Amino acid sequence: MNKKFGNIKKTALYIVLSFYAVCSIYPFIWLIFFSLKNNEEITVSNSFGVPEVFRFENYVNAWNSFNIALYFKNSIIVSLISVAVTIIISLMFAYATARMIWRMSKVARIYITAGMFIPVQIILIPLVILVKNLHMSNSFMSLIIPYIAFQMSFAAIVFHGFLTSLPFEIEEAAYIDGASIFRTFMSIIVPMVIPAIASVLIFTFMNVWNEFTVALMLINKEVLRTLPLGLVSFKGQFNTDWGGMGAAMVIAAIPTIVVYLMFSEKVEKALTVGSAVKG
Amino acid sequence: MQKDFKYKLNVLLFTLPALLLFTVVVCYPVLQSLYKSLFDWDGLSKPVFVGFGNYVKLWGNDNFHLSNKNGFIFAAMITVYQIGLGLLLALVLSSKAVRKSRFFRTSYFMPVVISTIIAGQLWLQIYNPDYGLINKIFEALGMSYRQAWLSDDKAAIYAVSFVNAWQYMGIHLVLIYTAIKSIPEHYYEAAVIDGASNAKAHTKITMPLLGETFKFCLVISITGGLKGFNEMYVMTQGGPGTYTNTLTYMMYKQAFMANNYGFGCAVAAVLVLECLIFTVLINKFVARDRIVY
Amino acid sequence: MNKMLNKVLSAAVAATLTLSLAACGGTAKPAETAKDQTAAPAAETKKEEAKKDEKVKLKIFSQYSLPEEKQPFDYAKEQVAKAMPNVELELDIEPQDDNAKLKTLAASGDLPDIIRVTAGIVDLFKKSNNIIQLDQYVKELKIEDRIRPAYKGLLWDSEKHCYAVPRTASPTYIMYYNKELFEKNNIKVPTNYDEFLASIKAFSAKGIMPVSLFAKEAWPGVMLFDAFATRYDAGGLMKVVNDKKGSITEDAYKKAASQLYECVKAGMLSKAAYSTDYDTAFNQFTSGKCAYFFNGAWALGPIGDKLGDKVDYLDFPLADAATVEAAKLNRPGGGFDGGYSVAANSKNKDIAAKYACLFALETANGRVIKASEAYPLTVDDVKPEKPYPAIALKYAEESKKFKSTTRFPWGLNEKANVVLGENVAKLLTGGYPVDKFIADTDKALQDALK
Repeated sequence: MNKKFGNIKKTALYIVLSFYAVCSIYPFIWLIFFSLKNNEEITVSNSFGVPEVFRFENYVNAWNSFNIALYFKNSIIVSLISVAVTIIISLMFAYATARMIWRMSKVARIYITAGMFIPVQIILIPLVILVKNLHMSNSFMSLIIPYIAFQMSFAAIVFHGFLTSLPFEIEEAAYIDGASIFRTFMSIIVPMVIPAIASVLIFTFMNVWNEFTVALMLINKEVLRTLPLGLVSFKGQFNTDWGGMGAAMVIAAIPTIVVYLMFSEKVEKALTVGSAVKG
Repeated sequence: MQKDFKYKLNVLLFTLPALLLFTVVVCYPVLQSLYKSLFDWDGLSKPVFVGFGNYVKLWGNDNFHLSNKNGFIFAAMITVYQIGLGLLLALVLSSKAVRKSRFFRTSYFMPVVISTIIAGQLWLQIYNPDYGLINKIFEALGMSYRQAWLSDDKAAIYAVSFVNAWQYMGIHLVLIYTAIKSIPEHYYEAAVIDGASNAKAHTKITMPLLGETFKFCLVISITGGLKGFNEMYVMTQGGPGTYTNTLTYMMYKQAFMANNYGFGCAVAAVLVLECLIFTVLINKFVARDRIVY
Repeated sequence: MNKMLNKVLSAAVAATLTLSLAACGGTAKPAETAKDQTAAPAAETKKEEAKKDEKVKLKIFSQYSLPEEKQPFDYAKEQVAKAMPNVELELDIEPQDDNAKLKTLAASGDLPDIIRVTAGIVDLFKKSNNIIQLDQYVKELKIEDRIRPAYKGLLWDSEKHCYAVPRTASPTYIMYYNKELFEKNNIKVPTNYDEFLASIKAFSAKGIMPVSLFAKEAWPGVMLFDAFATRYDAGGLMKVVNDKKGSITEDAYKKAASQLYECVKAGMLSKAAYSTDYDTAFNQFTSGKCAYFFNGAWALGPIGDKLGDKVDYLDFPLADAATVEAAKLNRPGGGFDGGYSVAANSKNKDIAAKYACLFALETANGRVIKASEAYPLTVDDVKPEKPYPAIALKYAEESKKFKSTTRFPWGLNEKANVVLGENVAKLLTGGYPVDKFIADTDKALQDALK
């Protein structure tokens, strides 16, 4: 009797979970359909269903309307450098605030956390002037430096959260053995926060990969444009080529999915190993 | 003494890159914007110093109060939805009894991957009162209830914030899930031996240990709400009229469209101030200390 | 030891700040440098002449997104290359971002040599000396002679100076209607306001959307209001906002607001209007889902192509029977609808200015040839590649008789435009009483136009 009741409960649970999964995956299918329709279908006659005709020419248009290969390459350069440096800098910072004892620690942490709250629109103009004065205009650095600064706050608070939840005894042993802080950091702390690093990597990568506003303001040269700027090619003064834009978006979304699948597996593995070791 | 100095030097080495970069690239421009809020300025011509004139004007501006309120509604909506549902799903999916956990997590994360432009377009269609999905569902259920979700002065801000809530729930799910999974399993084993139920084990063990996680989830969702911009930009342009303006959107409109750059900076200043207050509050009241059992 | 750390820390922060402050001390103040540079054009001209044979690179900031924008641009580039083969054009595509990028470029002193401008931007950049006066170049190149008499005024501002050369003539706002829908449903095509209101009610009762308005953007609402207002005062919103004559509290505007409000209450707009974008509204109209469509004359070609003889336009029968005839030829919309200016910080001002002048006119021709614009700006002999649909030919003929035009919202004072956009949108929700609309708008406009 009890078991049967448990089974019903379980089935109900799976139905709910699956329903929400459909709600979450549907947008993606919708986007793919979207990218294969023309404006009339998208806006009026068939906004939810399967395209009447699969218009693969949208992909051809998307490919021809701007230099996707170049933009793609630029996006990868900018994203890889920004993400790597963001992780290094903010992990070091979080280590200092979470596991070292110094007077201004809390103030420094709140100071950096406050960055989370600053909408980039507030500082667009001063930022553009700053980048110009630092002689970084029209180089990849003009994007990479601001991206790191903006992403750092998020990464730092996530790392801080993970680092404070590790038991303090871990490093103490290392200190007693006379290991330097850097060695402790590299050989003990970093391996323990691999899941956090992977999570931060996923989020930072997505934010940087999709970033539009700052890139729009700072990049004026064709050879430096990143992928999101390609969207400008689909929006005219009045009308928009929605199908072409959808196609470009599908292409742009592939790397983020790959990164997510790759690194969420890392998180998974690290977690199972981690909790087994800790246990 | 020598060692102490070395320790401090290490602190400096670990924190300086972050502090330096943040100060130059984020803090300094913010200070500049704050300074500009004291001027009547179109952004290009010669600025005229007006002291706190822009702030006085701001206080008397209905749109400002509305935008401010909208920011709070936005923040509250997404905080409740994202952390609430994220926690619930994380607890369920972290349970060993649930199979296909990875599939569910991957699918719940998918909306995060698509850009706001696409999510916005999708929800515009879903909300559409003429042929949208929601009203179609009401129709199918034989209900006569219809709502123009995005045209209603009261409902619009909730409708817009729901899109953000839905889209970014996955982030919180992943963060909370990762944190739960980091809890050593023997904590639970002990509790189970003591005869504690599943729910009790969670309230006694999981929740307290998630303190730090909640803290940064709160920061993420509250910041996401207060500075909300993209959803408005894509879906409503702050409209109808000003009904879905947030402070960021109002600032953008004033500074970039209406050429009231100084006034826009005053809006920004209020936003920065609110944000600072929230950061301090969260740090003070959520998970003040590490909980030791 | 703590003190030591503090010192180090504060020194580091101080160093950072000085560094960045010093860097910002070097910010070029665009306004001042601009003046200096305009003061010495003669010297520069000589220098430029000396290296006449060298390639000159000019940066241009312009719309270049969809085929209808790309083709006229490419056409113009080809044409001007014949006269100025030494110029190499480097394009920065203009995004649809309410001019945020353009203003940011101006603020940081990085404006490209040639920029596409609206009337609002010309006013702003003129005041801040971000663009140069083009009078001498316009005279030298005899630009005015190439522009049709009706549009010569677009070249000059109120002080008879030229800061931007138009790249299109003045399209006006048009009240399109689907003839077929009226016939099928046996509804009378209106000749005055009462009949218009009756037609709205009739369509609404039959479950057909009367007007498809893309109110996701702010300007269609403002233009709709202007369409009503110009029935009673030919100056429309332009009179109050740009000419600063009279106020929105005048009877003409009150009447326009209350009639508009009455139409909304009668079900003129879809509840979805606020999430409707241009493409959606356009497709709703061309697929026969709505009766009226308010849009600019630039849509004559595409609409005519899709609907053929099923579509026509009306002379804005939105006034009472007594005044409707007199106001027939007072059109909303029109005015300076975009052109090219030359940035004051350009290093090759002379060449840029000449290029901009020619490029603007050739773009106008390109828009006729490639995009079938039915209102040519120049006297040049240009024909569209694709023949005009009937409705466009009708407009080309009738537009010669228009008595007055106003401006599209992007030609209005930008501060006022934001106020109008917000308040008219609220009025169109039907939950914002007319009196409050007039009072609030009046207050906000007075503040904005101070």
